[in-house]
Amino acid sequence: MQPGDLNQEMFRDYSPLAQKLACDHLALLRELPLVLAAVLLRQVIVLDTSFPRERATIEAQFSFLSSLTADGLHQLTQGFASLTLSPELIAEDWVRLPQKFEEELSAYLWASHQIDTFHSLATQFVDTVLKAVPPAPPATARWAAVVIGPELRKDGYPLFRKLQPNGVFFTDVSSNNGASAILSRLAKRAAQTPVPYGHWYIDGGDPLAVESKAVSSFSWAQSSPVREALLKKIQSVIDNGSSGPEMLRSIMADWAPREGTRDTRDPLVDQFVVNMYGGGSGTQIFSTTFVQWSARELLRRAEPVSLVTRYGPRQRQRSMNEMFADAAAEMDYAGSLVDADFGAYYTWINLTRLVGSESAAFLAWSESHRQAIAIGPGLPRGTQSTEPITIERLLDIVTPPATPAGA
Amino acid sequence: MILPRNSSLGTLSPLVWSRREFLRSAIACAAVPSLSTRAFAAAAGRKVVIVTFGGGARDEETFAPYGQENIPNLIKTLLPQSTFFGQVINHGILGHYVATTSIATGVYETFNNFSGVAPPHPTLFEYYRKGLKRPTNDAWLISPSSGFRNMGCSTDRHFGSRYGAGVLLPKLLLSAAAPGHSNNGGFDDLLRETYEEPHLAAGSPATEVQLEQLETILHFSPDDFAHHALSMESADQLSVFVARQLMTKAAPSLLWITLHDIDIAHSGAYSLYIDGIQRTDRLCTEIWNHIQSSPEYAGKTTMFILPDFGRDADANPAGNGFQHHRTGDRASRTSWMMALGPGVRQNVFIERAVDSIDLVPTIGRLLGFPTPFAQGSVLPEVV
Repeated sequence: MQPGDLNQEMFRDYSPLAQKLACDHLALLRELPLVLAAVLLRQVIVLDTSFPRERATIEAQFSFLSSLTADGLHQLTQGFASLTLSPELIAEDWVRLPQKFEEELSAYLWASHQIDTFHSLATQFVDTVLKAVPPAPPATARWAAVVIGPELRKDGYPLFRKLQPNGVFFTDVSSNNGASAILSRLAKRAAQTPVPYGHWYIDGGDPLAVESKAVSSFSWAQSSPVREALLKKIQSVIDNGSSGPEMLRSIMADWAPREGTRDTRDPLVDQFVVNMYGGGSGTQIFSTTFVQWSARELLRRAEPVSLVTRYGPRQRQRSMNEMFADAAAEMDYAGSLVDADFGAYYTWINLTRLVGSESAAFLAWSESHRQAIAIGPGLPRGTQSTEPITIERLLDIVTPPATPAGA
Repeated sequence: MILPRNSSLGTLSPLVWSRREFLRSAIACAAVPSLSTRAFAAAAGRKVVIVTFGGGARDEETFAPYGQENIPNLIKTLLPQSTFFGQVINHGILGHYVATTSIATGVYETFNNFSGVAPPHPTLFEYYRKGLKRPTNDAWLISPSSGFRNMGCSTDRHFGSRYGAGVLLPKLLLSAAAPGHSNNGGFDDLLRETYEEPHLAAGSPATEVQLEQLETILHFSPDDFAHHALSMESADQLSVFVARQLMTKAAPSLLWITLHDIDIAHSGAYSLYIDGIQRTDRLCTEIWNHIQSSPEYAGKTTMFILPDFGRDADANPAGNGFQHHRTGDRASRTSWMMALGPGVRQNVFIERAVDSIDLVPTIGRLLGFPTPFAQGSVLPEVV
């Protein structure tokens, strides 16, 4: 089917917000090359479970495209029309199942040596849209903290080596209850600048208490019913032996837990956690991966103004089937520290991708190593401080003023 | 597939070394002066061993400044003896089976990476055996991944299985040697399949083929093999153990070893990815040392070591850095290759970009057989 054949009836299975957006922009969708129409519908179909920031971005993107003249739209999107597709792909039900189409499109583009062209077109398209409708600045300067839990230790390991060129490396950080101090600062920020789904806490073990209901949170421990239900599903697919890895991934991505296994009582957060387990790679078996990938996806999707992640120990590596089959295992504390160190680096990279990143502040801290890295406006890059400092004092240094960025 | 978001990462620039810079820094670590041994002439009895440093390793964790600590054996022992290609580009599909098979056919294959099918184009093994009229047991492929079982020969009707390589799959050998392993312990880690292919995991049925390979090719009783396997720390170590035994008992002239421990990176655990690289570094040197100590191989064996490809760059917003190889960006397509042995110049750095499918025609020229359907180019620096 071609986009020109689209009609409102085809969106009847979409959730309410998604259906409305697709129908409102039906004329636009009919004009788009098939590849682009399907990719955009992949964003639309999950609109009802999207966070406010990503919903606004998608809606702004459609408004911009609909506002273009026929020539302007053609100029922006014609490159996608130059991609050749197989008859099988064109015959796919890309309206009702855009995710499945996207997976098969990806495989086809790789096999037909068109993937680089697609990436180039996609980058150009996104850059143009972002230039025309730039994302709104954050409500307050962004702030992210990564806590590497006290059990995680590897003597002699060069902690925060990747981050050190970008900020101040503190080598003697003391704390009586540093993680709680960081979470108190998170709660304070949430109270000062209320933003729906703008303040987050992710814990890779048992979560600590947060004194604020304005903070969205989830954890490895509390989401264990979801994880275990998915692991059972994976195990049954493996035992069945009839599905290859691609089928397994599709099954995981489409998987939804039964009622009663969700834990946060916020449907958007619950769905996000399900997505982390179903769509992530390694999130189901390693808590460190769960934290890193969740932080990455949160920053990309929710664009939070505050984020605290806390790493706990992950299980020791065993055979894949053993890890899929059984959650209980011996812990790898040294390996977890290395994972968390790199996870902190990736969280900082993802933070720098957001609008307002020039005013963002970042802190990563290892309790057992008594070391921290602080990055932000006014903090000299590539420097080191060997003076003793408390985590509370460090928070004062790193926390940006609670005023709107750019105000 | 994720549409990339805007990503101005100008603040990263001080951290980024150019490829030329870091490769030069690696070469600078090589203390042995350059020696030309090009007088070595092509001769009967020459052997070639190919090791794929897999699956998928980035410069960042190998030859870049901070990465060199992960590969001390490559840097200190092998690099000074090698001609080193600093830019090996893979223009094909970045899936391990299809990419490794493409290196072996000299053609960028386009079949589904997870299909496990035999390639349509003739493999290096077929060219070698047909071109030089070599017997069955003179070309072997060893792979820890059961998904590579059909890489030994193509479906080309002029070549095909009658010219293909023998294929040893150590995990299946172990499954055959120690049936019921999962209940009585010790082997599960060795039988670990790739993260991407858990369905092929431990417990594959024992077959007569594996038991026959154990006894007639490797000269192991099932009990002896299982006993040795208990001391192995990983599937790749088991593969190298099998390779050593094969070299001792059968001394094939063409041997391809695919290593795969590094691909644990797909689980997102950076520490395990690094462990895999460090182990692969040790195993590559172990293979080279075995070659040098073996009368059948010493002085007449050329070894090539190359990753099948890299992994995604940290700065690419469409990926998640080291975890995958899905973006097709420069970091994921670019790797390196070492060539060592008689006739290969030592401590030489080749800066120009070459292609990963250049290996087949190069080995063909080196050993003296035609590779008519391979699409790569001969690398004159090593022939």
